[in-house]
Amino acid sequence: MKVTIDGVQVELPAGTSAIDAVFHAGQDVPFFCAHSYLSPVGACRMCLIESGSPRKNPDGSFVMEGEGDAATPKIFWFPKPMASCTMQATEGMHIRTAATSDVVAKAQAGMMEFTLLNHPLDCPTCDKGGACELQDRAFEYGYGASRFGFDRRHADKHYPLSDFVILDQERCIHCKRCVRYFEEVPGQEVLDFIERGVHTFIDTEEGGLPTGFQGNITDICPVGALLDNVARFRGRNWEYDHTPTTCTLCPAGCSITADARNGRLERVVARENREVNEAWICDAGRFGHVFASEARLTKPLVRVDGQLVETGWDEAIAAIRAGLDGLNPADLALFLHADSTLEEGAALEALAALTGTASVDHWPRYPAEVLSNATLNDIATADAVVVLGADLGEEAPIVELRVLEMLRGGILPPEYAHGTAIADLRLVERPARKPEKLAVIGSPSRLSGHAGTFVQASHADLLTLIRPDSEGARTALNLLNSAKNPVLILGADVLNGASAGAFATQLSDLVARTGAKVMAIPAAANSRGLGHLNLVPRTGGQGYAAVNHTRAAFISRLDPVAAGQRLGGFSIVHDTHLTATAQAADVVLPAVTGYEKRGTTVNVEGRLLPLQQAALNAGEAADLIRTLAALAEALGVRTRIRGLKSAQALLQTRLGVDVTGLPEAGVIRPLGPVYAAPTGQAHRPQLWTERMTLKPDPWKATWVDRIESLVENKWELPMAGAQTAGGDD
Amino acid sequence: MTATLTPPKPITSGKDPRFAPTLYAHVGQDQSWTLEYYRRHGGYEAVKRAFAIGNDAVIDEVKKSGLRGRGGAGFATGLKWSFMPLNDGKPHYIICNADESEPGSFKDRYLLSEDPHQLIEGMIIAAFAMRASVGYIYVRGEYVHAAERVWAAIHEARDAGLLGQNILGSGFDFQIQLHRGAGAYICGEETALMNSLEGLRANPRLKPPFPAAAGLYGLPTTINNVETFCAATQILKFGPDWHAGMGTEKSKGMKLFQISGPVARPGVYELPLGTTFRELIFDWAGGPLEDIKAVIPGGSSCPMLPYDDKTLDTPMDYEAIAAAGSMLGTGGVTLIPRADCIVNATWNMVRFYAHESCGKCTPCREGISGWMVRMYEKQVRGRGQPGDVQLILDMSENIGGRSFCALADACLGPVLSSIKLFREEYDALANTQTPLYGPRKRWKDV
Repeated sequence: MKVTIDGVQVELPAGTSAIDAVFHAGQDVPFFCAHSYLSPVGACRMCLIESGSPRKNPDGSFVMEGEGDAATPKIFWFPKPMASCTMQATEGMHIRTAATSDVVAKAQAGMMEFTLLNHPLDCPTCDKGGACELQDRAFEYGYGASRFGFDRRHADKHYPLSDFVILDQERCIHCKRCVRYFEEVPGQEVLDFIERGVHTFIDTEEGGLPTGFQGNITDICPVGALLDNVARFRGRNWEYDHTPTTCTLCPAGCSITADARNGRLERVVARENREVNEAWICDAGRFGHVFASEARLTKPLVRVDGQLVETGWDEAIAAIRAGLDGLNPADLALFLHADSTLEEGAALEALAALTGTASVDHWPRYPAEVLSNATLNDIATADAVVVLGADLGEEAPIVELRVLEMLRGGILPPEYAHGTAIADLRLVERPARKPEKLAVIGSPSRLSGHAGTFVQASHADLLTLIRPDSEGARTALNLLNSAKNPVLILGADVLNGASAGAFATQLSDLVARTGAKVMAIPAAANSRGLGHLNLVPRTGGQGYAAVNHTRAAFISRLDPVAAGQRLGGFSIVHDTHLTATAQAADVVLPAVTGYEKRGTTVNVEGRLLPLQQAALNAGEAADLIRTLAALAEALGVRTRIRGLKSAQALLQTRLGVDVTGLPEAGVIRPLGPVYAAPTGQAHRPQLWTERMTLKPDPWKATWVDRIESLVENKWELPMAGAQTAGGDD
Repeated sequence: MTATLTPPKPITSGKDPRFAPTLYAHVGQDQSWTLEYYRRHGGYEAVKRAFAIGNDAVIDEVKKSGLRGRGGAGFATGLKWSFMPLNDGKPHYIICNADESEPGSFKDRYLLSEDPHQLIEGMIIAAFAMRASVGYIYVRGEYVHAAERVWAAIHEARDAGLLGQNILGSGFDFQIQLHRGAGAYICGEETALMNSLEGLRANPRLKPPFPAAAGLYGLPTTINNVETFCAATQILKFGPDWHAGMGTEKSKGMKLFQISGPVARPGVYELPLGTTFRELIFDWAGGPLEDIKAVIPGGSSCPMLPYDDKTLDTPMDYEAIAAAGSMLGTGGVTLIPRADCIVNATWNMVRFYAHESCGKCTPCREGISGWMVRMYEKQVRGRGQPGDVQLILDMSENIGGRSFCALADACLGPVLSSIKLFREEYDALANTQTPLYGPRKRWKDV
């Protein structure tokens, strides 16, 4: 299909919208209501273009213009400008944008004037200022001045839609993105326009927004109407250090941008990754970052006369050396959290090889070895999904969104020269969902409400599917059997209860019979990568579950004491906060969070994703690689791995993967658990519960109250309180 | 029985002396809304004939009759009916658009309240032709009386076996539901009406897909005006040739014309299409009661025409009025007196559209609802400034043809035409803050 835009002819696939044709050709139109992952709606009327198409004679030939060889198909122009986001480009179509058409330029300037009529223009105090689509487009396409001589509409400027999202009703330009987002992506009909005409405003019917994915509307709002309450008034867009990185709170591995200011992490926004999280992230990932800047350990602590006192690294190393006196380096057990990077895992493995310790473990992990082979796009485009024993909202929320995407048709947007299609005309408002394509077996969860088949089972077992004993289970099995591209999602419930050997056989039988792809949700962000590094107890060694039996232990960012365990002998704790375990430790070394380290993580699909270091101020905190180097010094061994580069070089030889210069979307490598190491302890990921239980109360608390509650609860989401938010308009 | 009835005996019409009213023949008669009365006057004979000739033949007859949509746009009804997919295995719907809200239009109201069975019969015929199983009548919320009469008529028809399973032994099943609107003009727009019927916010939908492909609940749907369904009843009753014999070459049949404003006998008059304004205003409505300066030919959204001999001799049909620079619309003729300030009169209409803008798209929400109406208020309140008229014109250019649906363009009809015809009145208000025609007592104050 050949389309000509401002004289530039481009070749496009059929079905392309006119707006994508324009951008593909390198031209530009302004738009507010269109969004790559939402249905085109044509409400803002900014993307006007002039268009014309050739017409055919009754005999099928084109109506021509000109004489002889110079004849070209005559273009019949539409009498008025059309919205390009809702129009399909057709063969031979000609399009004029503002660059070549005065009609379009005037129409867009006029439309911009209308859009700005009732917009308060409080950009100097607006959080969106500097990163605002309306601001940018007004400069590019507007008149520069308004002829509107009346009072603007006045409405509530601090209207809390929920604890996390604040609506400024004056700034809203009625693009309807947030309404469509809730209807189409998480499938929740909660927002809508109320009233009509110029009085139209956005509101929820019953107050509050459903938890889970509400924060995404703050990303897609083209103006500063919907703002992230956690980050509100925390900084201007040009003051933030924007770090593109990967979220390590769950194994989904969403691409995010961490925005830090003055050494504090103030905001997390979603970054588009077509393969993983599209344009969305979960609320835990967006709002649950506050711990990274609250009550951090900034200096090492050593126990003196029963009390932990702050000290320097040299003193801490000396204390470790003294504490381990009389012990063999091989007696020091090494445990690390499974959200550590591949590089950190490689460094730990190298140190374990040097000291010869058999007690090495990463936690959390599940007993069963499952090699999942389904990608997130496989889920979205599957024709049947069976979820077994998973509470996706707690384990990997983005997987839940991709399952919901499957239910509404699994349409993956095409890609053009300008990236993801801006208006995908296959997406429709209020899409028909097909719940019969989804079966959920396990405890009730948010997703089970969308499922056509739900079998309640307190402990989901693969056998419920293999030997179905109920109508629902039979339906689920039929779904797998009859579908062409089925996907089986396994969660904590089923993986915890599995005994390694039989489970693998059962699963491979089931997969062989049904042809299903499998996605086993790992227990933590990088369980899959660390599993591949074989960081499990060697013969004769102790696992993490037996931490109290160790003579000496190095525990990185794990909190066994809070889980009811006791520490064994001499304990070195490497953590970001003063956890219960740290309080019981002999030496505490300050660690960095997942937002402030470089490295590589492996997500649920086996995709290698890069982590970048956000500019957070964490004092003398050090990542695991450097901490292990210091530990080696205390142990009197010389490790080769003293930094990121050497760890990456080790990974190259160890796993045969080059993790330097990964593309932002990551690459899939067949990494997965290679061990057979049962664990005696069950683990249930609780992303939402852990990150979001401390619900903010925006109307509560002076600053002092907040500090006190921080001390008591360790950390809490800082909210821009109404009382302290004066003077912003 | 496939023979048509004999058309009624001619009475009057300067345009066509053979013409006699059929749509409104029983309006105003005692008990005309009952089934008993309707049957006594040849009711439900047309539907029997429809069943006898078969559904494709019904569509052919409607095509042959030259009937065009009476809701305003004038799209060929037979053609529209033939767009419905035939054997797609899906349920089909038909909708009767009885959300008559255009200022100046009041023809459907009496069809609904005085002759509801005519509508029900027309809907059965249409449903039979288009293989629809359910019909919805979307009645304007304010038409309480009409809705009650229609509802009662639906019950009567159900009890008589005219609705429900196996209607009149034909094997055809059809049900009618009545829905009362909640007071939004935008629900007269077909896709907004469907959204409203589905329980959603009444915003117009994106077209394509057109309703015949994906309408109500995503299923094939055809939507017609009350008068169109009633005309279908008459066409099946008296035959397509009878219908095609009235009117002009391209605008065939009869039409309900409404006339309001200072005339001796305002009201609804059924006349053949192509009747002149002069005949309607003088012969039927008894002539104007005072000096007139403008005529709105078909409901407030149609651009006004000057009140002169040329306009008066214009035939009221789709083509002739379009040639004169306006639209036939719903046939709601409104006369504007010379002594009324045209800016004030237009403000009245603009206020209506500003109030009824649904808020979906920017030019209508901000341009009409937020700005245009305030510009008019500014003029009428004596706060006008030089340049305001030019600003209104420029604003109109930015609104016209840029909006999502036709509501914004409808508002521009009176705005642009009144500025074109009576620029001096606008200029007087903008430049001197004094109207050429000062305020008058309203009729109820007289």
